Amino acid sequence: MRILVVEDEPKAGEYLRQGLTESGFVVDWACNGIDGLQLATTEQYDLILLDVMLPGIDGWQVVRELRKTRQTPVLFLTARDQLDERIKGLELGADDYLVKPFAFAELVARIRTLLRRGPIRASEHLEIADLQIDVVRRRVTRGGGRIDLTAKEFALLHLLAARKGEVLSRSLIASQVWDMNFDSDTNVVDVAVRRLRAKIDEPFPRKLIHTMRGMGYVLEDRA
Amino acid sequence: MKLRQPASLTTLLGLLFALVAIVSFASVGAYLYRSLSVQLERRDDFELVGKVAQIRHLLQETDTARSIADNPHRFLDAAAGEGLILILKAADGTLLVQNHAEHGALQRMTIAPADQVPASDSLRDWTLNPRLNARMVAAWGRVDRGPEQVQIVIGRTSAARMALLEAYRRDALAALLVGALLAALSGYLLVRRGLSPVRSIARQAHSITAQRLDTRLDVAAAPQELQTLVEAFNDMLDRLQGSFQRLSQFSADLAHDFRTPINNLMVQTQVALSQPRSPEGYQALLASNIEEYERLARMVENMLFLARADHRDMALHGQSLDAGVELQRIAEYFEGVAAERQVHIEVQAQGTVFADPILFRRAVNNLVANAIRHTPAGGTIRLQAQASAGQSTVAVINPGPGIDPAHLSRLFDRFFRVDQARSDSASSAGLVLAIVRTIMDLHGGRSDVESESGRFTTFRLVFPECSGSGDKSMQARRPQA
Repeated sequence: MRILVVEDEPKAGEYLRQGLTESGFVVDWACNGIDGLQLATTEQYDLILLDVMLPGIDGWQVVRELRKTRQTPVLFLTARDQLDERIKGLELGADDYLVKPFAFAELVARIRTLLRRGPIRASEHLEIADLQIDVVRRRVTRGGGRIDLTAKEFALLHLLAARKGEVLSRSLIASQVWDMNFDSDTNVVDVAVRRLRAKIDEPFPRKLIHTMRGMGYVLEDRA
Repeated sequence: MKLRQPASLTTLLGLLFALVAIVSFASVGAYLYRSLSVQLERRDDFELVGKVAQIRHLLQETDTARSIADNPHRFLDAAAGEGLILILKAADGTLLVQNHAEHGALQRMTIAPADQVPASDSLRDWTLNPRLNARMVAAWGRVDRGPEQVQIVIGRTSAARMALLEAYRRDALAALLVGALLAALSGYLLVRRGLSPVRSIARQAHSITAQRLDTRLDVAAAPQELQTLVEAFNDMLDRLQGSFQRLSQFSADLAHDFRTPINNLMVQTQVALSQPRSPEGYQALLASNIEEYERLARMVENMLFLARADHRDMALHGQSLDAGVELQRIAEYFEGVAAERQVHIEVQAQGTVFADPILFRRAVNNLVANAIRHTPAGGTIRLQAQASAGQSTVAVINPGPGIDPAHLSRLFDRFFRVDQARSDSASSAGLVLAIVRTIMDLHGGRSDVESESGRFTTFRLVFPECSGSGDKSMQARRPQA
């Protein structure tokens, strides 16, 4: 998967390139709108990460020009988040919008979603190592033993398992599991994950839920 | 393009004074002129009619018409005088006496019969030649003997009358100009004097700056008409001063709150860099830094939220929410945290609340997080909702030590902390309740708190039925899903 990053701030460009490369993407980096547009229209990219405030021509113009010839998905990055700006971006043909500061895990999740395009196919049965999740009957077993979960614990486990291997940020978890769509400074998510771990992981030697400090949580079999 | 300067009120009123003076002086002058002119005309007419009687009398003392021409002196003497015209003609048209050569218009005159005094409307102005106008009258007269009649034409040239009127006109015009000037000048001076309190108010207002916002205009010194204005201005200053102080305090508090995480970041990183560390050491440092960054990011987000709400740069997406469902969802959200602190959450709700779902959850969320922090182990937090006429009330009730009544009124202020020394470093606690109040303001509702020492603390959110003040046109910023 090839991604073009158009970002004028050197630090931001550098960490985006490094982070996305390490997440398994091939990354090109343009430092201004003109170079960005040039690359975007001559090379083949699966996705473009576009900063709005750029020297030369700004992000809006880049998208406007790009949309004349290409339909490459565009994810806007911006420090401004007034609604009219968002609407403007989306009307111009941007596919998504991420406001700074954002969690890196959130960025990767959005990129994956855009690349996947379309709903994740809901699987009726999930299996990670010896953990079995029957989504329809809401039944969880591990190592053959049945584990009782509350409704929200099940929703949390289902989310982690459905996106196994993906680091999920706290705000994403709060939004998906409890529909709390704002940043809260409570440690609700940490506590919920801790309680889920007590049931899913503690009795077993092989741990499945991992904490990515400062980023969030991931469920994967690291054996 | 240069903007036209607004006219000076003083100049304008001065000019209006002058205009009023000109119009009234001119009307009065015109009236007097007209009346004088009529008077003069009447006087002339009266004199002319008198002359007709005098000439008739002389005619009766005369034998025949023919003898008039022989001895015209008596008649000419009677008509002696500046501007008097006398013409006597025999009935057959023979000219008997004349002291004036111009009588082209005489054929058209109405001639009064010999036994009648000439009617006043038979006296008319005649143009004898382009430079000469005259008031003329004609009548028949009888001589002593015989039936012979003599045509009498008497006139007075208008020159004297016109000269008098002309002089009057000149005088009146001069008086008009002087009067208008005087009126304008005195109007200007009076208005200037009358408006001097306005200048003094302006001088006082000029001296008010951000550093001297406590200055107030002197209400007592202002004239009655301006007192309302001065009072309104002072009220505005009160409000501005309040907002300004809150804003200054807010900036100071904000800077102070930013110091702690920034200091943590700096010092912690400096310590870590002072000697080589293991990779785990660096990882721990970076992870700890992340926590501080997240804290800063949340503070910025909260600040922006408040700033936008202040500028009404936020739209409400009000809808009818099932209070029970909403409170249950929040209870479930805090289920784990509450259980860890051995606190129980109980929901007793009925009815609906008209609110923006995200803001509603955020407000209640903040209250519940606050309640959990202050509830002792084993306690039960109750979330209640009920709808009554025109409003719905959501209450978050927690047992605990309670809040000092002295602090209750300031509890919803930004950065207010009951315990000033304990800067709750894990959260931007100083904004939590301020955000609740702001959300309620946006909904046109209100928030209040009651606390019974050692028993219960109750936070109440009152939502109006169909949030009337929710300005649907406000700009929105929906937190991302």
